[in-house]
Amino acid sequence: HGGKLERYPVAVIDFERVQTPFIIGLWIFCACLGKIGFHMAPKLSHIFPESCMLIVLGVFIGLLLFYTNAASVSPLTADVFFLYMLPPIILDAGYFMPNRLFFDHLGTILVFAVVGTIWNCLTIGISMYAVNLTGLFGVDVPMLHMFLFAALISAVDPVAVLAVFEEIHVEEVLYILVFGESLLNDGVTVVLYHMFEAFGEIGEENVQVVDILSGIASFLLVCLGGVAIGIIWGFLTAFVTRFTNQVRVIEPIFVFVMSYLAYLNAEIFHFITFCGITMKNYVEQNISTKSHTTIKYAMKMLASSSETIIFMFLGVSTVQYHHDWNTWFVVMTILFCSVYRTLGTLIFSSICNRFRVKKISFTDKFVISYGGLRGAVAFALVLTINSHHIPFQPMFLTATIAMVLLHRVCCRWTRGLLSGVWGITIKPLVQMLGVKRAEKRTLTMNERLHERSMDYIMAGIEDLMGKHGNFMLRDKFKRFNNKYITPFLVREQNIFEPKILETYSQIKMQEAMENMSNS
Amino acid sequence: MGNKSSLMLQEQDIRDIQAETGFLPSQIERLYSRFTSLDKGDNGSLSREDFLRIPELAINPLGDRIVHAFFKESEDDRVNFCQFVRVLAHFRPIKRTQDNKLNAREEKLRFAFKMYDLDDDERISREELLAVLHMMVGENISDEQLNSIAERTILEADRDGDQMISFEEFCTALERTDVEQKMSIKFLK
Repeated sequence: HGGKLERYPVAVIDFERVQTPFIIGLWIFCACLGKIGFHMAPKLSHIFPESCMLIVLGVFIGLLLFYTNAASVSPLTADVFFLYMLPPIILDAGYFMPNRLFFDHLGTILVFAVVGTIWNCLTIGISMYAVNLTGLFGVDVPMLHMFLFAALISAVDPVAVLAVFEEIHVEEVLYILVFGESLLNDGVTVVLYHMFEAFGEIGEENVQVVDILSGIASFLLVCLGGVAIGIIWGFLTAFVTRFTNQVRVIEPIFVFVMSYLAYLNAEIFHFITFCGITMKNYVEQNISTKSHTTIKYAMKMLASSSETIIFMFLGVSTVQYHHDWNTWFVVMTILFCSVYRTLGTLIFSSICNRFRVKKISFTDKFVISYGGLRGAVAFALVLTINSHHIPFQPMFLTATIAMVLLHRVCCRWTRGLLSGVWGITIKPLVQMLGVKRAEKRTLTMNERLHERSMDYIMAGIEDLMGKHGNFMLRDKFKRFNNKYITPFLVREQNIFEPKILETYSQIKMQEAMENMSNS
Repeated sequence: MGNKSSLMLQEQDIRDIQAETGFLPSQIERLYSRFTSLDKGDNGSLSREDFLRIPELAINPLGDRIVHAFFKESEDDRVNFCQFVRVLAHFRPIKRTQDNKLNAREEKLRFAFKMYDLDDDERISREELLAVLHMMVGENISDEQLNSIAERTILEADRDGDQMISFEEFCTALERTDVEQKMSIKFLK
């Protein structure tokens, strides 16, 4: 050791060891502080949407990092997004999805999610390529690369849609249509994206009919496989909670871990998942009320935090990546996205209206086409593009960011328009549009009971007509469920109408609480 | 739509039924072919057995009552085609442009009300409510619990304090329910 003997140090600075978790912690801390600050300034929240503020905050932090070269933590990678940020949001959405409403409108939702997304992708791709041929962009983007871009920009993003629609409380049918679409079209987008990516690598000349056919087959596989995986894991979760009555504290963990596993399991094959929907009913019957409350709040917290972080990451990433601003490309992207979204909504909703009892009205169409917001999913997908294979990635990235930011601003406008927070000037507009607002309600005993009996009446009438409609299918599923699935997954003995009992105890509970606070 | 069905259904009948129920002629023809396929005895009318031969309807907890609703209008134990269609017309979707009294909201509600009101006194008593609850909820639940549910339901809806639910009270209790949608089906054209 020579002359200098190292004494025991009073303090050591070992930042490297904690760098990553520390920076992540700081991220979350900043995001939350920003959120609090935002809500403490009431005037600010009237002018800006919250997500806008978070993006701006992100840009500031990004600039700081950029000029000081302080940290080498790369902001938002596609993996971080798809593995850690998106699952809480999807799970929260799926778990608290109003099942009944979702399945009642499943047909329309599927048309919008599947056909609508393919329509968006193809029309945007073709139009962009056509504009490209005229030389307006000043660069020559190959056709398949353009379609790749169209695929990622055509997806409606559940994160963005939720952020807006949660706040304005539109009518429940409208809500489920846009929201269901945004949840289900992920699958379509991801398949289209991977398909065009692979086609791009094969090369335009070498793509054959066989490849397109396999693309279609893989699409079916992805969607059905994702649903199957989700259902299996959902049932497994429900089955496990059957045995947790001795160890109540681990009930929430089962729900979280198993749905996360389902998500990862589905992601291995680029699958989407249906997990939350299938487990909810059974899990709720098995677990204690306290665990249920824990699950509810933990899920809400995780979802809203990761939403917050995503928007901030968006801001940081805006600074940190290479950009290639191409005015015409950006303008055309925004133009085509809006035009084809509106056109598609008009076409598909009038097709769906032929089969629906409750028609999609004109204002609904307006809100649906407006509600098609692009957001973080498109952004994460554009980041995964390999710029070695596709040299125009920076241009795509810039256009995507421009699109997302523009939508944030539009959000504010819609939100203001629909919720009337902009005061008296907006109110006539809302009334003119006549957008129905949802009423938050718990069912009364009468409503629950008579609505159930109406279901039975309708199932009976459909049987009488020999028509395979919604009521009849639900009735069949219910009977199957009561006979085979529920006894297997639920610990308590099996009753036929658990919802009626549930409503009763809910009402009783509420009354008891009120009595408590009155006395 | 075989030849047989169009043979037995006269142009005039279709027009009359159309005027009364609001069904389109093509819908009436389709309903007629369903009617004849249910009519196993080929005598132009349906008996209770004809209805209950439909397996799902037979196990529907309200199946009996639904079938019963068809026989309310007829004196004997048969239902002819006109009566059959008239009951089904309650479930036509409501359109803003064409109004028909059979499928109005109130008629839909009345149909649901009649499911409970077995003795036709225009009131749902506790016993009547309990009977329906029993059919829907099944056996694995105590009578005590069902009793308190029925009591709670009446307490909630009852305005005049007679411990029963009248049709008006029934309608008020379901004010917020989208009956127009819940009790409508698309009839095929």
